[in-house]
Amino acid sequence: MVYYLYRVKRLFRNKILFFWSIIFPLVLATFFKLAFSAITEKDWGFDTIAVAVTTEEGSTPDEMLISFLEEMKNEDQAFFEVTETDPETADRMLSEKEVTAVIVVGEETVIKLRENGLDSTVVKTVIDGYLQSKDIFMEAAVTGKLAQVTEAFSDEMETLAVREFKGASKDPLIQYFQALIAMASLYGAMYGLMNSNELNTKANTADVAARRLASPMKKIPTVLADVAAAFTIQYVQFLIIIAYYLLVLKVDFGTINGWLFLGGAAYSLFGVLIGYCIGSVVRQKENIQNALMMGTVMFSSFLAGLMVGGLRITIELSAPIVNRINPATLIADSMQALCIMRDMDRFATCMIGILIWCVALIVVSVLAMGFRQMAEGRRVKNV
Amino acid sequence: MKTVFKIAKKALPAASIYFCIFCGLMIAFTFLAGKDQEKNFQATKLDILLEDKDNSVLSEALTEYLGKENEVSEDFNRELVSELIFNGVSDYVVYIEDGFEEKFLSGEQGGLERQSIRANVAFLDEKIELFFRYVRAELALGKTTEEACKAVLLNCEKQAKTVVTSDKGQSMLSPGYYFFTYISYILPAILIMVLGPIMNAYYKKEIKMRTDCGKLSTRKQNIAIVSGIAAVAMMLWGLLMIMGVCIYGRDFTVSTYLCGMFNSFLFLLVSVAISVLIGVLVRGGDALNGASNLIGMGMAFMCGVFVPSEMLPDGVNKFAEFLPASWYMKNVRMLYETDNMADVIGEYLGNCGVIAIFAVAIFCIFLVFVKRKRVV
Repeated sequence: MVYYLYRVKRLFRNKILFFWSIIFPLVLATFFKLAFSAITEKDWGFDTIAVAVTTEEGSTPDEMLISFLEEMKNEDQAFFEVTETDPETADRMLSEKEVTAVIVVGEETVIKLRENGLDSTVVKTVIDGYLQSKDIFMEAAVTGKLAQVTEAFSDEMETLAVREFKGASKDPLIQYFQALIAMASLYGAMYGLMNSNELNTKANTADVAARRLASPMKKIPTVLADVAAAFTIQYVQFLIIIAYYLLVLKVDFGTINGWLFLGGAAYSLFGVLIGYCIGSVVRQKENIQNALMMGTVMFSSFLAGLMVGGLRITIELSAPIVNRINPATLIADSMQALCIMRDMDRFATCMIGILIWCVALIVVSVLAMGFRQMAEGRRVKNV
Repeated sequence: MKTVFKIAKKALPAASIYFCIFCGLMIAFTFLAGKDQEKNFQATKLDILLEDKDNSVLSEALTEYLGKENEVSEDFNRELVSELIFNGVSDYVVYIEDGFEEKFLSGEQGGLERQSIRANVAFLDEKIELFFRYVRAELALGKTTEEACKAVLLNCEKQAKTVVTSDKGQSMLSPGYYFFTYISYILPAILIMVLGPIMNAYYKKEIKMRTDCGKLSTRKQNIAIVSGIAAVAMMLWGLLMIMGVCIYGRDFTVSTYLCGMFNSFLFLLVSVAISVLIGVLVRGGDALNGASNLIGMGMAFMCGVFVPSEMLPDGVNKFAEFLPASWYMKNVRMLYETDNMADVIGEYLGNCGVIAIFAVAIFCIFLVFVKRKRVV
C-alpha cells in the first residue's frame, strides 16, 4: 500500500506527463467548444431567410407571391422575412448581404442570389414550387376544373410524418469530444511507459530502475502496485475530463450513467497497458519509445475522428474491421453507443474488444518482461 | 551565430513534425479546394436515404422527384441509419411503408415518414408536401395515378431563371487562401520549437556567466544572437514563400501574393517576438513543445484559422481582436474577398500596422523579462 502511494506520488509529480495527459486534453476540449459551439446552430439550425421582392418596370406586383412567401412557416417560425422594394434598393440590399435573394417579378420571374448555398437552394425550391403551382392552376382554369384543383390544393392533410431520432444528443460535434476522451485515455500509456522504464536497467531512468530492482520487494507486487498507481491517476483524470465537459463546458454528452464510469475504468487500464507493452517490447532509447507511443496514440485518435469528424463512420462503411480493432475507435464508439444511441449491445461489443486488447497487452508485456529477465539472467551467468 | 545554428539544428526533428503537418494540409487542400466560385446557380444537394417498401407508382415518383435535386440512395445499411444521421453522412431519411399509395388515394394518413436531426431541412418537408398537393390536384383534373405522377414530374422541370451575382474576385476556397491562412498556425508553432531552445541555452545562468567572462562584448553577443535568430526565421519564412509559389503559383495574382507575403512577413516578426519571449519564460524541450501547441493551436482556433470566424461565437471573435493572428486573418480574407486591392489598401495597411504594433509590444515584454534575468 505504501509502495502504491509513493508510486502515485512519483507519477503525479511528473509535470510533463501531467501536462499531456490532463492539461492538453482540457485545453483542446475548450478550443473545440469555443470553435464548434456555434457551428451546429449556424450550419444546421433553422433561420428565417431575408428576401427582397421587386417588380420589373411595366409589370404588376405579384401580391400572391408575397403572401405565399409570408405565410410559409416551420412550426411557428416564418421561412422568409419579405421586403417589398424597388429594383435598385433590392440590388443594394443583396450586395450588402442584407438579403439572401432578390425575386424579380416580371414577364419571367428571376431569382438573383449572392452566392450558392443552402439558403439560396431553399429560396429557389420555394419559388419553383410557387411557379409550378401557378401552372397547375392555369391548366385547371383552362379545363374548367379550377374548383376541384383548389379544393385538392387547400387540403390541409399532412402526408409526411416525422420519425424522431432515437439518439440522446443531436449534436454531431460530440464525436470530437468522444475522440478527445479516447486520446486522453490512451495518453495513460505515458504512465505505463514510465513505470515500465523504471524497471528497465537499460532505459534512461536506469539509476531509478536499479534502485527499485535492488529493493527486497518481489517483482510481481511491484508491477501490480505500479499498474494500480498509473491506473488510479489515469482514472481520476478521466473523471476530471468528464466533469469538465459536463460542468464547465456544458457539452451535451447524452445520457450519463454508471456504465460510463465503469467503461472509464476500462479505458484507463487500456491506456496504461499500451504503455507497458511498448516499454516491455520496444527495447530502444526512451525517446524512440515515446515517439512510437505518441505516434500510435495520435494515429489511433485520428482514425477515431479527432482531426476529421465523420472519419469513424466513413471507415465503418468501407473497412469496419479497422473500427473493431482500433483502440481509440473502440473507446469513442463505446461512448457513442452508451451515451448517444443507448445501444447496450454495441457498448458490450466495444467493451469486449477493449478487454481482449487488455488481455493481449498483458500477455505480450509479461512474455516480453520474462524474456528480458531470462536474457539478463543468462548474461549474469556468463559473467 | 554558429552556435545558434547548432542549437536550431537540434530542434529540427521536432519542428519538422509541424512542417509535415503544414505540407499535409496544403496538399489536402489542393485536392479539396481550388475550384472558383460558380457564377451559375448550383443547388445544395442533400444526402437522402430512402427506404421504399411500397414500390408503387406514387412511391417511385416521389423517389424520382427527390432525386432531381438531391443525392438519393436506396442502398444502405439499415442498422447504421442512426449513425449515418448523427455523423452528418445522411441529411434526411425517408421511409415509405408498404401500402402507402393505397392509403394516400383513399385519403388516409400514414405510411410515409422522415427522419433528420437538421432543423434547416424543413424546406424539404414542404417540398414533399407540395409534391402530394400537385398529385392531388392532377388527380382532381381526372387523371390516373400514373398520369398524375408523370404530369407532376414534368411540371417540376419548369424552374425560375436564377442569377448568381457574387462579386468575389477569387474564391475563399482557393488553395492560396488556405496557404496564407495556415501560415499563421505554423509560424509560431515552429519558431517556438526552434528559437525557444536557443533562448533557453543563451539565458541559462551558467552559460550566460561563461559567455560574459569571454572577450566578446555584450553588444557583439547580442548582434550575433539577433542575426542568428533573424537568419533562422528568414530561412523558414523564405522556404514557405518559395513553397507557396511552387505549389500555388497559378492561384496567386501578383498583388495577392505580394500583399500576402508582406502580411506574412509582419506575422513572422510577431512569431519571432512570441518565440523569444517563450524561450526566456519556459525551460526545457518538452515544456516548449507544450507551449508551442497551446499558443499555435490557441491562436488558430480563436482567430478563424481552423474554423472561419463567422462560425465562432461573438465573444470569441471579440477576444480574438487582442491576438495578432486575427488581424493577420483579416488581411488574408481581404485578399481573397476583394477584386481590387487598391480599394481596400487603407484598411489593409491599418491591419498591417496593428500586427507590427503587436510585434513591438511583445518584443518590449521580452526585453523586460531579459532585463530581469540579467545575471551579471
